[in-house]
Amino acid sequence: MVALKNKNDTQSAGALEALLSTYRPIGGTVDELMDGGGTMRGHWTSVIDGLAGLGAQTRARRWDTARRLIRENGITYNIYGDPEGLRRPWGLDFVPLVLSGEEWQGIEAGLKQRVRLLNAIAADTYADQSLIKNGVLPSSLMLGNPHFLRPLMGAKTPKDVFVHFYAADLARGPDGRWWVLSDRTQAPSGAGYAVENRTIMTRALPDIFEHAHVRRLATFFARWRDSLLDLVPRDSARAVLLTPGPYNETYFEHVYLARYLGLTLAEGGDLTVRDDVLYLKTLDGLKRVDLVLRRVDSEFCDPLELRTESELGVAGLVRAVRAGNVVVANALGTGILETQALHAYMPAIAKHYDDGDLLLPDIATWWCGDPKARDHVIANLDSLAITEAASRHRVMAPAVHGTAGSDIGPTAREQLIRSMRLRGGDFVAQEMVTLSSTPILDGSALAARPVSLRCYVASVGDDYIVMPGGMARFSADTEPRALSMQSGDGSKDVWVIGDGPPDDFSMMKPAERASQTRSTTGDLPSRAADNLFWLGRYIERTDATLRLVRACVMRLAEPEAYPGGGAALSRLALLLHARADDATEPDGLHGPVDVLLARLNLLLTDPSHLNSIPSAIDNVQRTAYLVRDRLSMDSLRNITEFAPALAPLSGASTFETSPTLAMVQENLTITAALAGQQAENTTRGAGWLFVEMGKRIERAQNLISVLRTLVIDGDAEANGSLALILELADSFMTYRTRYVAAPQLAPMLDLVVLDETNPRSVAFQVVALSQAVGRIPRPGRNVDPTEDELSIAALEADIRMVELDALCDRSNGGRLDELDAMLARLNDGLSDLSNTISRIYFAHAESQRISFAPRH
Amino acid sequence: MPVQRFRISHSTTYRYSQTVTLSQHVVHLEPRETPTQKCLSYALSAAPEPSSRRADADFFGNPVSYLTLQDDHTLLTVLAVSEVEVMPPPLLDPEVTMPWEQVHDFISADPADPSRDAVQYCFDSPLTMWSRDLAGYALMSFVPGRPVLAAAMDLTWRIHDEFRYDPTVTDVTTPVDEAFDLKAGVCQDLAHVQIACMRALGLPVRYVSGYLLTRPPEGQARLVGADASHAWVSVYCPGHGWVDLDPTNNLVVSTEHITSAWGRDYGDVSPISGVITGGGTHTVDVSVDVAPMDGD
Repeated sequence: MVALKNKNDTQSAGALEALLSTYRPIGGTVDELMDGGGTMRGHWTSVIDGLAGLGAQTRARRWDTARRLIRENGITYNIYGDPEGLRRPWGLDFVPLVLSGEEWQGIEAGLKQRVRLLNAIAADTYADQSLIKNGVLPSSLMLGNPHFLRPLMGAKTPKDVFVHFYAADLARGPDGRWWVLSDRTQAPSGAGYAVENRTIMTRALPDIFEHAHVRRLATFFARWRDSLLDLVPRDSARAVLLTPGPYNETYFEHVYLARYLGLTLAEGGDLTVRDDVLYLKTLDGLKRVDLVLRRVDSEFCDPLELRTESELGVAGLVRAVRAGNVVVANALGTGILETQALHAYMPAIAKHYDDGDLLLPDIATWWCGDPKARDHVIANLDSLAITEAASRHRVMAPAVHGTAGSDIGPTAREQLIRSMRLRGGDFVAQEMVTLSSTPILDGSALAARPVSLRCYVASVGDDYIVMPGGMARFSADTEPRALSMQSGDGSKDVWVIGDGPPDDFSMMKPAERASQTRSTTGDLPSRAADNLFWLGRYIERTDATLRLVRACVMRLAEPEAYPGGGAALSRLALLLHARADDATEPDGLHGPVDVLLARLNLLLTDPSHLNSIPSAIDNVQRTAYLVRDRLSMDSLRNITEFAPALAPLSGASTFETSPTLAMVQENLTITAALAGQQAENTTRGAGWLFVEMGKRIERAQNLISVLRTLVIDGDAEANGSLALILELADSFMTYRTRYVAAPQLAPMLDLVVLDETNPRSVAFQVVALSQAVGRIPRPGRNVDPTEDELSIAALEADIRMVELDALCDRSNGGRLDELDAMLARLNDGLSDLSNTISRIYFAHAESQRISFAPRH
Repeated sequence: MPVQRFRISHSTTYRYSQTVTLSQHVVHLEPRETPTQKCLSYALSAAPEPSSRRADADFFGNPVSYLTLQDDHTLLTVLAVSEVEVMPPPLLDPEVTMPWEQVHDFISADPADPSRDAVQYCFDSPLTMWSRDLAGYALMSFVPGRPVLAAAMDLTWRIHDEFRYDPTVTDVTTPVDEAFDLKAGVCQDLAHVQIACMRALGLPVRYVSGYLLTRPPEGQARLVGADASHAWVSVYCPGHGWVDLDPTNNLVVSTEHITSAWGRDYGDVSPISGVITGGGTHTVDVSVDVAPMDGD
C-alpha cells in the first residue's frame, strides 16, 4: 500500500519499504505522513528517506545516543508520586512531526491573531470591561470567574502587553484544518523542553536535520529575551524567573530557560517587597528586580493580596506591580484567559475588534451559563465532552479531557443534567476531539499514533513572533482522543520545513552574546548559597568514603603488600566503625576480616546509612539538582554519571577481581573531575566560595577524624596506621619524595597536619577557609570583623602556634594527648564555623500569614 | 430615629514568640462612606512606627492602608480611632420588594447599567462556596414568588434561631459548609452562611464588616474595650438598593451598626491581615470600644 516516489536505487527502496512496511494510519482521522491514497506527503520525503537510509542498526545506535543525551542533560519531568522521585527522564520520540512551510504560515498567522485577541481581552477585563458592557462577554463568566483577580483591576502594563508568552494546543481535525484545543496564558510550559528536544534531535540526526532545511528555534528566544529586557528602562535592569521550586513538575524547564535567557532563577522566598519595590535577597544585600518572568500561577504570587495560603509568592508583589515598579510576565490575572468557556465567544470577540474571521477556529464549545447553549448541550449530551467552566490550570494537560455524555452512566447523567440546570455557569461542553495520527518509531519500524501540537508565541516590541516549531505530543495508545503528559505519553520535536535558506543562528551563542551586558545570573540568593555549601561538603564526603573503601579492598586482597599487614586491617575496621557512626558490634563474626567486611558492605550498599556511598552520592545528586542553574553542563553531566549501586564484597578470593574496586575507581574519577571543574572552570564568585568552604570544612573534619582514630593510641608505625593516613590524605607520594624513608610520626604529622603548602593537610584547609570567609560579599561592610571571620581567625592562630614537638609528646603512657586535644579543638571550631555560616548566610526565616476573625 | 455619632477605638496587639524581621499588613479599619454613614475623622497609628504606610482604595471602594515594618520587633500594636455619623436608613416594606426569582435576571439584563455592580456579589467567593445543601436550606425561605427582602429576612431569622453562637468551634479559615453542618459559629460564620445560601440561588449579597454598639445591662456602666468587631450581610433589592441584615442578632440594621468595609466575604475585608517573616507563634489581643459621642 505504500507508494514509493522515484526510487531507482533498489537498496534504498528496500530500506524504505522495511521502515514503512507496518505503518498503518489510524482510520477515520487525517494522517500526517500519508495522504488518503496512502502516498507519502511531499514534505516528509527528506526526513523519512533519511531515516530509512540509516538502516535499522544505525537507527538503533543513534537512538541510544539520543537517550544517553537525555539522561546526561538531565531532562526530567517531575511526576508527583513517581517512585523515581524528582528525576524521571523525559520521553522523546525519534521521529519528528514534520510540517510544510506553507502550512506553517497559516498556523503562524492564526496564532498571532489569536494572541492579540487574548491580550485585548485581558487588557479590557482589567480596565474598562467594555466587552462585558457591550454584551460580548457575559458578566457572570468574567466577574464570577475565580481567575479574575480583583486586586489587579486597573493595574497598568508597559505597552498594554498582558500576554508576553503564549502557548496554544492545536489538533488537526478530520477536515484537515488545525483547531485550537486550549490556550495557555497563565505560565505556559514546554518551550524549554522543545528546545532541549531540538538539541537532542540535531545531535542524534545531524545529517537528516541539515538536509531537510528545518527552521531554527534560536532566533525566537534571542529576540524574546531582548524584548523582555527592553520593557524595563533601567540601565542595570535585573530580571528573574520565578519558579515554584524543585517540586514543580516542570522545574527542569525553569532552570533551562533561566540559563538560556540569562535570568536569575528565584523562588518566592528569595524575593521581598520593600516600599512597593521588588528585591532579590542576595548575599550582597537586596538587589532591585525590574522584571519577573513567572512560572507561578497568578493566584499564588502574593499571599498578602491574592491566595493567602500560598507560600510560593512574594508578599506585596501586587502593590509593586500597581506602583509600576516591576513588570510581571505574563501579567498577574491573565489566567482568566484560560477559561474554557471563552472558546465559545472567540468568534464574537474577533468581530468586536473588527478582526474578521478566526484564522484558527476554536473547538466547538458551549458555555452552559447561557440558557440556550445549555439546552443545546442537554439535547446533544451523547456527542459532547463536559468539563468545568472555570477549570484550574492543568500543567501540560491539553484540553481534550472530559467524558463523553454517551459514556456517563444513567444516574450520573441525571445528576449532571440537574446540576447544569441549577448551576449552568459551572459547566462547559465541547465536541469530542479527533486527533490526526503521525509516525513514531516503534522498535525498528514506524507506527501511527494520535498527535497534538503545542505552539509558542512571544511578544516582541509591538508585535508577536511564533516559535517555528514547538512540541508535539503523542498518546501511547491508538485511541485518537485524550492526551496527557502526566499519564506518561511522549513528546516529539516539530520540524517546520523552511522554504528559504534556514537562518544560521546557533543555539547557545546568541544567548551568551546578547546577554553579556545584562545577564543578572551573578546574584546569589541565600538559598542557592546554602545548597552550594552542602554540595561542596557532599562531594568531598563521597570522595573521602570512596578512598577509604578503596584502601580497604586493596588491603583485603593483599594484606601483606601493605605496612602493618593484618594489624592494618584492624585499624581499618576501627576507621569504618568511626565513619559508619555505628555503635553496635556485628554479631557472630570472628577475626578482623569478617568485621571489616560486614562494615564495608554497609558503607557500600546501604542507602539508609548516613555516610554510606549510596547515601553520599544521593545527597550530591539531590543537592546539585536544587542548584542546577548554578552548575556547568559538564559538572551536571559528571554528577549524573556517578554509579551509586556498588556490588557488595563476599569472600577473600574474589577481592582482587571484584567489580567493586572498578566502580569505586570510576566514581573517584568523577570526584576528581568535579574538583578539576571547581578549580579550573568556575569563576571565583560567591557561588564558588560556598562550594569551597563546604569542601574545606568537610575535608578538614574528615582528616581530623582519621587522625584521631588511628594515631592517638597504639604503635602507629608498626600497625600500618601512618601509611594508611598518608594514603587516605593522598600524600604518600609527597612523603616519599620529601623524606625518602618509611613513614614516621613526626614527618607524617608535619606533612598532613601543619604543612600549609599541602592541599590535603589540615592547615591548608584552615588557611583556605580563612581566605574564603574573608571574600564573602557582605552588605554594608564596615571594619568590624564578623562572627565567622573571628571564628576562623581563632582556628588559624591555633594551628599556626602549635609546635610539632608538642604534638609528638607521648609522655602520658604513650598517648598523644596534645595532638588529640588540638585536633578536638579544631574539630569543634570547624563545627561552630559551619553553624555560624548557616546562621548568617542561609537563614531562611519562614513567612507566615497572620489574621484574626471578628469574634462577636 | 435621630442621627447618631460614635467614637470607635480599635486596638490590636500582636505578641510574637520570636523576632519578626519584616511584617506587611493590609488594614481595613477606616469606616467607609455609605448613603447613611459619614466618617468624621480617622487616625491610624502603630507602634513600632511602620517604615512605610500607603493609603489606597480597594476594588470594592473601601479605604485601605498598607503598613510595612522592617525593623526587628516582637510586639506590634495597631490603633485605629474614628468618629462616625450614622443616619437611619429609609424605611422599606419587605413585601413590596421584587420577587426573588426576578432579581438575578434584572441585574444581569443590561450590563452597561451601573447597577450591574451588584452582579459582583452573585457568585461563589473563596469562603462562600456553593453547595446543594445550602441551596436547599435557602429554598425553605425563598418560596416561589416571595419578595426578595421578605425571604431574606426570613432566612436571617431562621439562621439566628437554628444556629448556636459559639466562638470555640470555628476560626478564620472555617469554610462555610463546615459552619453550616455544625449549625454554630460566630458572626462571621453566620454571615457567610446567609451569603452562601442566597448566592446559591444567584442572588447578590455582600459581606459587611464593622462594629455594633453594645448596651450594658440595665443599671450597669458601659465597659470600655468590651466591644468587638462585627459582621453582617447586605442584600440587594432592585429599585431600592442595599439593605443590611444581621443574622447574629436577627435584626434589620439601623443606626447602631457602623460599617468599615464590604466585600464578597471576610477574605476581602479582614480588619487586619498580614504576612510576617519570622515570629514563631503569636497571640493577638483585640480591644474595641464603641462609644456614643456626648452632646448629640
